[in-house]
Amino acid sequence: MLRIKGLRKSYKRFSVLKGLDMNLEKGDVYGFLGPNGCGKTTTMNIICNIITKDGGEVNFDGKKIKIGYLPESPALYGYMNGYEYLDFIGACCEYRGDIKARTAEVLEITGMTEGAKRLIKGYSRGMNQRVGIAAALYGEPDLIILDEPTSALDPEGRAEVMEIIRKLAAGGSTIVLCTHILSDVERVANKVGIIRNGVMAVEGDIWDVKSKFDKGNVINIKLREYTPQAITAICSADLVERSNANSVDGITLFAKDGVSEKEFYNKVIMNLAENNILPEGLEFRRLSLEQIYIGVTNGSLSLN
Amino acid sequence: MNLQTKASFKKELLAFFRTKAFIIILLVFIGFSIFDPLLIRGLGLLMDAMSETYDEMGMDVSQISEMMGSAASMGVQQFLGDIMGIGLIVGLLLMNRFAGGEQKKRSIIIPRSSGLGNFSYITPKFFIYPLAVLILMVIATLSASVVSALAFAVNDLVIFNVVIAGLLMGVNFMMYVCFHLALGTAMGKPGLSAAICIGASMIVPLIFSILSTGIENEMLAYNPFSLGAMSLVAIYEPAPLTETIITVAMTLGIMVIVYLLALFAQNAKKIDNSGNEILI
Repeated sequence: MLRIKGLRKSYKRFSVLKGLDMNLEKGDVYGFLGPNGCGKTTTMNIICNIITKDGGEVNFDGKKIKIGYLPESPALYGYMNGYEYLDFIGACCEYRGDIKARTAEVLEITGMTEGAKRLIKGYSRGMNQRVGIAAALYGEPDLIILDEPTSALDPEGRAEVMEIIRKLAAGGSTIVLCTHILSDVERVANKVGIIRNGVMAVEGDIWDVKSKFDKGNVINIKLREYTPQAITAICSADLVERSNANSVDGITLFAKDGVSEKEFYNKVIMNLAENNILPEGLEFRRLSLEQIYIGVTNGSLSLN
Repeated sequence: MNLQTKASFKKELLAFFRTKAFIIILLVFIGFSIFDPLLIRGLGLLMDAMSETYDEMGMDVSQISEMMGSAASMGVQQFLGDIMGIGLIVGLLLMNRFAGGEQKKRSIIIPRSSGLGNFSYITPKFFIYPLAVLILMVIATLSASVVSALAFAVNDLVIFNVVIAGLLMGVNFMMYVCFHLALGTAMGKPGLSAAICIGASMIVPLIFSILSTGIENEMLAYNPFSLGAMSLVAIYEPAPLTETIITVAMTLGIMVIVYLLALFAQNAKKIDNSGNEILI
């Protein structure tokens, strides 16, 4: 749906985007990550034709698509109430259907049916954000771009907004979510792109990205009681390269190189069964998105 | 009129009335229309009361006090003079919100990215705010004439002259409002636009006045920047009808050109980044 190649943008002498590539398919929920000032909002503004690009290509596969855009900290018309504002947005979209009905619909989706009766100047940040999302959804866009939708919100406001985004994602909407709140991305996105130094450092399916950075398979086992016999039995299982054990973090088993995830898991389970050990918990330990993000943005992690 | 333009008209009307811009401009205009005649009348009475003191000092202020205190036309002229200066500054500053304020506060981003077109964005501004200023100016001028007629001993006002004076000053204001709207929406800097327009309102009429001194030049005589001065004189005797019509027509013509330039500026700023570029 969206292909960006070699995107460049500078503000006076400061180069923000130095050849960014980005690929988005229909139905993706794309978490676009990066530190403050790295160019996320600049990229979104270029896609939405708010600012010009200095170079590169922005291609919607040759199609004319509708974009619904929620800018960072959306500024609305305070002298209107939510209904009036969205009716106005409906006219801007040249919405072909019943504008009043569509206004009621998007307010219902964003949980602002009652709140929208008040003037916008009296809204909390969360309410503002929700009306902004309603405006972004209004024209039934092909692509929804949400720039920092949960920034500056309290935990309750964040949860409300993320719930809306989750429902949109579940409904098959194509969404770009620009944020530096990684838990939000992990909750809803299927794809992630991390920008560093003006270029895309990492891009792909979240699980693919995580597995690319994982150095082999690691399983963590928690026991109710860490007896020496139990620890020895677990750590001496076949295919275990090395292990760590303590009562706080549990027993961490590192697989030998070349061992598949499935093979390692089966071996560990069989070993537990043979030694009659019932674990309290067992899980694969992967690098979290936060660890990957921090590693990529500070340069300690790369795919090369 | 398409749906977008209708909605935009409604939006500007809501902005004008709900942001209290209308009320503040009305209060300023009406305030001047009441305060100025009373001030002049009061000063005249004060000078009358102190004339003996001035006589003892060897100063003859009888002519001045006579001018200040005598006729209602003085009150209206004082109002028009003040409104042309301070009133214009206040009016233009209050218009900042509508003249690029949306770009500055970034509240135009969502409507624009939703599809709000340049014509629908600009056109309502160039109808509503100049028209509002014209209507308020006529109302305020009539108000000044009522106050002056009541306050002064001699009522030499002719209602037709008052209306003409109000209209001329109103059209003068309309022109500056149009300049402000055009500059402000083009630059996205309403404060700078207001400063430029206020500066122009002080300097340009002066330049024209200097240029037209002793020169028989009809273009200079009918220049739109003379409307303020024409308004001040119209209280006593309006200019010949032809001159008035030509000057007003030229002013309206300039406003149309300014509107078209504002539209052109918005069109020139249109961005489409999705054109494919060959990478080298």
